[in-house]
Amino acid sequence: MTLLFSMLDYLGVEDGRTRVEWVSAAEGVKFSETMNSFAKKINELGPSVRLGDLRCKN
Amino acid sequence: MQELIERAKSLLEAGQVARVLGWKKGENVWDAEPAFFESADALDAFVYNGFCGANLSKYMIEAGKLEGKTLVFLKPCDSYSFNQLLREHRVDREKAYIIGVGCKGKLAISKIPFDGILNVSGADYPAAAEMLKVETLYGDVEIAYKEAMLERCHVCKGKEHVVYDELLGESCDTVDADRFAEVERIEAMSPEEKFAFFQQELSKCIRCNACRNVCPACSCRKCVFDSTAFDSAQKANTTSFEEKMFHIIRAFHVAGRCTDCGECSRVCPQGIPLHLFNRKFIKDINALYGEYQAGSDLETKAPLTCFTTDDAEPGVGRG
Amino acid sequence: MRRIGVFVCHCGSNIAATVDVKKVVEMALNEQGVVHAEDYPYMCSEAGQSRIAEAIKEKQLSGIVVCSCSPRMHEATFRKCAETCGLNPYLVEIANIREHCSWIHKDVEEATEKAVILMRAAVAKVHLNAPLQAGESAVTKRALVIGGGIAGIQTAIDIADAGYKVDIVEKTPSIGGRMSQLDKTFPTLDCSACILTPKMVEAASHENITIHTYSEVEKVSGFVGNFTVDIRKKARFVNMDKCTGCGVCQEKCPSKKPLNEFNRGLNTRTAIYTPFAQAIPNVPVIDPQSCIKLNTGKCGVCEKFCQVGAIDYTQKDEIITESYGAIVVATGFDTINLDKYGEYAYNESKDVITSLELERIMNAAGPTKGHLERLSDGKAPKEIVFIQCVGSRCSDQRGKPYCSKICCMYTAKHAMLIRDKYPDTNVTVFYIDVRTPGKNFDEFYRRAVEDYGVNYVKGQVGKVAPQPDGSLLVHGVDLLENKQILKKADMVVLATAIEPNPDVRKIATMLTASIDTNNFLTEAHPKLRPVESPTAGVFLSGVCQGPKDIPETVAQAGAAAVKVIGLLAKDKLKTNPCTAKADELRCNGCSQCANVCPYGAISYEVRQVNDHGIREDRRIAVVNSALCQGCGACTVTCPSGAMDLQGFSNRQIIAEVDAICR
Repeated sequence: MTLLFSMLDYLGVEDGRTRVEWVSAAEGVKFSETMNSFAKKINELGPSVRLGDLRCKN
Repeated sequence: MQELIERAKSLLEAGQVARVLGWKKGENVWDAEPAFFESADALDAFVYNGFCGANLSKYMIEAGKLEGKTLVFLKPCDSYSFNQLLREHRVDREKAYIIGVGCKGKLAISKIPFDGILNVSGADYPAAAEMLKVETLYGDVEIAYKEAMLERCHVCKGKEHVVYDELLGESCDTVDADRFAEVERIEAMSPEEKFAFFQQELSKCIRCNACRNVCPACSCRKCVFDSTAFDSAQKANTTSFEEKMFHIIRAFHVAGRCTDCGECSRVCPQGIPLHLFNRKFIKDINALYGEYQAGSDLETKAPLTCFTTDDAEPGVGRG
Repeated sequence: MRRIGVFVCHCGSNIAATVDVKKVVEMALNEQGVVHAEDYPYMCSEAGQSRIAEAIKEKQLSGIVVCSCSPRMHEATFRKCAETCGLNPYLVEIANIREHCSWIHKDVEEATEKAVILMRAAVAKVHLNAPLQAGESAVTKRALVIGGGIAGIQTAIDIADAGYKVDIVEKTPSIGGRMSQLDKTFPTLDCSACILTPKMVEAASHENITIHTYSEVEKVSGFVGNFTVDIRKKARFVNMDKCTGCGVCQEKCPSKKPLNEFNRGLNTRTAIYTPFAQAIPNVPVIDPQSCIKLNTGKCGVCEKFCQVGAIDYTQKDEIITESYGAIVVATGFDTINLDKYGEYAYNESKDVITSLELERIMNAAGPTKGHLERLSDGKAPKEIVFIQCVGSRCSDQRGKPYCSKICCMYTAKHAMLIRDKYPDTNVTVFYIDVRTPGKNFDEFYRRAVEDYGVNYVKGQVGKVAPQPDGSLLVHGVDLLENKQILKKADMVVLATAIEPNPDVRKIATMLTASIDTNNFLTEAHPKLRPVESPTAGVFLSGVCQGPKDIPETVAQAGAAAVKVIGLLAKDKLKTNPCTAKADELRCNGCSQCANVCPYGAISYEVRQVNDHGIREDRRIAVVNSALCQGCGACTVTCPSGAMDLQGFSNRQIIAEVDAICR
């Protein structure tokens, strides 16, 4: 994970598009806060241009 | 070079090896290509000079399946690749007779920037002249050996072989640059500059797959890019996949196993500096998990498949 | 394309109050492949299940999605339901719209939208479910009990009586455990040895029980039904087959310095010794640290006097390897170290003792032959003070946070016995609370107060100060009288906290059995599964799981035995098929997966593989599906993507993500 995100930085992918957080199944409040703040950040950054869905379209 | 041929012939004749894996003369002096030699006579076409950049270790995967031993000539950088293949159980040590051959740096024709080249002299081994004489249609010119050298030779890991059965030939030190200098230069750019740089370089990719085919770490029987199971099988350059993902994914797949042999950059027909991805991973692995050189031995645990309590916290700086 | 049925449960009002279940059904019918959708108040009920069964038959369903509570509750229920209808049980997926949705949201619109998304993800996944077959593994019909105290003995006897073979491994030279060190037991005041030794004899003579004393478990591998255990039988230096237990060697041994562990170090023993008179087996061991012959080569007196030539100084530790189907941990406890409780002067005065030391003093076979006397000068004590909760219920780092459970009862017992035998000795107990919840326990304690005149003072003791005249000044408080107390005592007894033997960490690691910060082994569920470890095949018996007294220990030992018997009674165990599997056509044999597997479930073999006409021998990764826990580490490490997780394949997970992000 650390390596991958470092590589994404290297490629110029915006910092806010990736995040790592340790959340246990017992930390419900932390989970909801993390997800809500991340979703907010992503909406601010807008659609992703630099990183895309790589799969072949069938 | 003669020494190498004589030694190969004697091993063949003595029956110690069933074939020789080396380089053979191409149409031009700079076209040395990997080849198998089945007899002493065939070895007349053998060549070892400054243009023998090809890493022969990967061919041992298939050669190991044939009857009898194969004599393989490995340059110092190639021997790391061989060790890495041994670690992954892809080659049989018993099927290889390795002659660790000396090296004074290897050349790239793409770095000799003259039109109409007819011949290049001064690249023979072990002579390796300081100045190469280049005969062109428009007259003779000279270029320093160092200037024509492959990028990877400027940051050579060292001329000591890590696996061999015998050593032949002298080497000389060719290091004159910092291995991670280019990576650091890019890391210092802004995200927009970085993105623009990589888009420009990677858009040249024609998906010839030469980098993947030559890479010793890319030895999967069925590559993920050839497999319909992952929706990523692509042969023709029809989308921006190459710019966005192919090279990154490949570099990630070989991360921790890439020995930095430099073949990917050498064989790319479009001249894309692929080593920038692999070196970035190597630099990060060194920083996060301790200095590690893939293929240097068979015992050290690979950093990406083992855990120690000193390992960096995942997502460092991204929580 | 599967024919999918979606069943949305109301779960009474648990789901229906926050999620519009009718809307979820409506949206389900729009999904590709869904040919049936309905809602019902209680899907897990028999009526609910029969609706699923009906739909499977009528609509020829080949995939089921149940939108309900957590799969931990009823995945097994719905799987069984599918199976009885002839549908492979692994073609069932659960969308958790209760714990993950209705129980954590308040807004009905939001919650319904989320429930619809969760349903879509489950439908997308079940399209790609494979009809997995549960594997089978054999069960070795033999149990291992680690620890030979009353818990281990009782468990072994119960398992053996049911007809199964049991091995007891005990690290001290004799079975018996803590109970053999006690004098009388509450609430009946039975003599401990009198009720324990018949059980010890029963265990020793039982045809199904094999006892390995002076032995320790060294290595455990395998999984439930198929454990392989290495047991180290330490060298006794005495031949067990020849020894008659006559005891002459112990009488003659000149090395008399080592502290007697059985008597808690209050007196000494010889280098060759049996821990107590009723030891089973009644074969002594030579302590190599203090044996003159083993250290210097001189002496050899025991060998000379042994009439049957049982002494063997050349004996070595022996390692035996055995197979077991189930393992029971019954490793018991010890009292905590009192170094951090300097205020009680335990290390300074011989007359400040622990309750276990008091048991030994009062026991007729103990260091003072049962006379209650001060260890400093041998005089009879006239004033005895008991201090409760030493090291228990502790809110700072010095002691244990929990209540040790047995101390209130045993102190009442000690107090009563002393008052009975020595009526002119005064006994005072400083307590915080008196906890006597068991059967006849409260009556027992009240007898100590009302009939035997034990003086109970509610308050703690701040300091025990040894005085120049040999007495102990106890400085405490009486909270009910609201005054400080300075009491001159001849003996102070500390009711010390108990903890599991620290060696148990090693055993827990070997068994991958869950252990908590107090070193108690964790049970699978605190209320409903008290004798099973979360690790399949490992069971818990006695104080190793939590503080308890003898009646509770025996009850729990029986419960553990029943669980073991239930396991061993099966001929085959069903293994979970949601495990990793390497596609042999794609596997390179590169060994990266085995390096990351936390369970050691991956090995390699050379197999002939037919790859589109090319036959060759290849080194392929093979996953032991009984050991594999489905963590997926190998799946993400595999560079060629050959390794995939059945039941949670790469494609299935991506399909779920796609469904959510639509």
